[in-house]
Amino acid sequence: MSELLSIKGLVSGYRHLKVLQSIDFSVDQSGMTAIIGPNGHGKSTLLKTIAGLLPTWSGEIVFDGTPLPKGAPERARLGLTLVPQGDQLFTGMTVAENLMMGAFARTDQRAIRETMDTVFSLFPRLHERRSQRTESLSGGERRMVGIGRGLMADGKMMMIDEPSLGLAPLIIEQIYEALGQIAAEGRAIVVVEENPSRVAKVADRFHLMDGGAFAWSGTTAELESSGEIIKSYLGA
Amino acid sequence: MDAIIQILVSGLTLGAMYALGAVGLALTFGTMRMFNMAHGVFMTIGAYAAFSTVNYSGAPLIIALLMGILAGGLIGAIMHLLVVQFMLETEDFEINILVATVGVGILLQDFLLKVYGGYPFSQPVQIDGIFRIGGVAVAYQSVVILVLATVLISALAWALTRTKFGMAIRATAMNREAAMLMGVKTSRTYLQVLIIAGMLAGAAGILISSLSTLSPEMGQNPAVRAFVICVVAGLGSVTGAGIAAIALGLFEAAIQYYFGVRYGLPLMLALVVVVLIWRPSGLFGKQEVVRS
Repeated sequence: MSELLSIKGLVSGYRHLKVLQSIDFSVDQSGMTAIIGPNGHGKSTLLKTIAGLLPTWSGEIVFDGTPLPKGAPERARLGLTLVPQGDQLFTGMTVAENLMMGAFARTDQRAIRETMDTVFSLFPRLHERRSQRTESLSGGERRMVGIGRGLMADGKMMMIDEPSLGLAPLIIEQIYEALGQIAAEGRAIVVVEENPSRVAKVADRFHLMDGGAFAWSGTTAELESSGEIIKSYLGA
Repeated sequence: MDAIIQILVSGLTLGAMYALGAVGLALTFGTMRMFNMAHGVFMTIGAYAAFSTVNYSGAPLIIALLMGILAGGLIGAIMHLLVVQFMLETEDFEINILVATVGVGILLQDFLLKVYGGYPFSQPVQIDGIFRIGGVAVAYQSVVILVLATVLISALAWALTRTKFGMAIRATAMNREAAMLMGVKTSRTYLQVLIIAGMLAGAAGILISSLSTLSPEMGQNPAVRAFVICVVAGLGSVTGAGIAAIALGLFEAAIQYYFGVRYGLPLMLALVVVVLIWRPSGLFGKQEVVRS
């Protein structure tokens, strides 16, 4: 299968602090890839660098056959969507307005409405709350808006940073069920998650991030058989 | 009864002018975290542009008005392209831009002094005459000010809430990184914001000069009031700035009527101190809440 995203020797960080130490990473046209590992080792930094929020120090990123342009807005317009950590909603706007902002780069109104219907069928709660401001929503509902807003871009690849962060176990299950459905529709998804047990059921590729580099990579079956390595990393 | 009508008329006139100045300033701060210290000079430039249009071409007043508004927008665009865009990513942007815009303001004000001299011209862009409501004389110009301010601010409110371009501005104001992730080119949004703020300032300048006279430093006093209004409303709250402007206009008119014109500004500032002691983040501002 041809690769949608291909990264070679990516180095990046914040100001003078180097975080990512030469990452090689690729994502297929469809399916869910999970980047796991303890906090503070560069998982979010990798997603932000791919999205263009952080500058690439060196290395190359090829997306859908072409090198990525500089700048987050330009990358978003190419179909590279990031659902950032902590939702980062437009809190003064309603649920529907947030979703419409997700489709900002699109022009076909009918297609946008169809995507919105898809989002509402995936998260019926958002339909109930569509004219409510997002600052009045619960944590789980906010996460749904964040993911829904990402879906509204109808991009080629969606990266989601810690979809379970700060949510109750029951809500986490609902969120992952929805993500599983999205992935099953043949879309490429990259999920960052501290705890691999949450993504083990839905993802098909795993990368363990440690100290700004991948310490281990493998499939679902390999993840199960290599339980000891993962456990020692996560301190379980 | 006449006293109340008198206060309402002059208060709303003052408030409408303050609102035009303050809304642009609030929009700039709300979207870019930028205190535009040259905002007052933008008003002056609008006023002089309208004055020159009438003086040198004899164009109709409506054309002169549009030229003044356009000149305000143009100077906003020029300042973004020559100064602001290069400072956006710098460390301590908020302080840097404050100092830089003070410099731009001084430069432009001296430029106006060089070109027009210090003579207090009267603004030709206004409508003479009065009519009476009860025993109160109302100038047609007051009506012009009210109508123009209402039209411009309503147009801005409509654009910000109903158009894609306005949604992009609000999204950038609420969360810049998230807006970029949606594909909003925020540097272009900033340019648009400075053009809009400049146009509103230009309109405010024309109206303010129609009640007094033109001079290179005429923008200073209204700019101070616009800043005060933004602080009282809560920095960056555009709707709040509009409401606070009307309220402070009425308050100032009442003070002027009962105590005399010279007490207007001092008592307004005293009110501001009281408001800020009671609500440090302003009437419509959000308290900074730390969420884990």
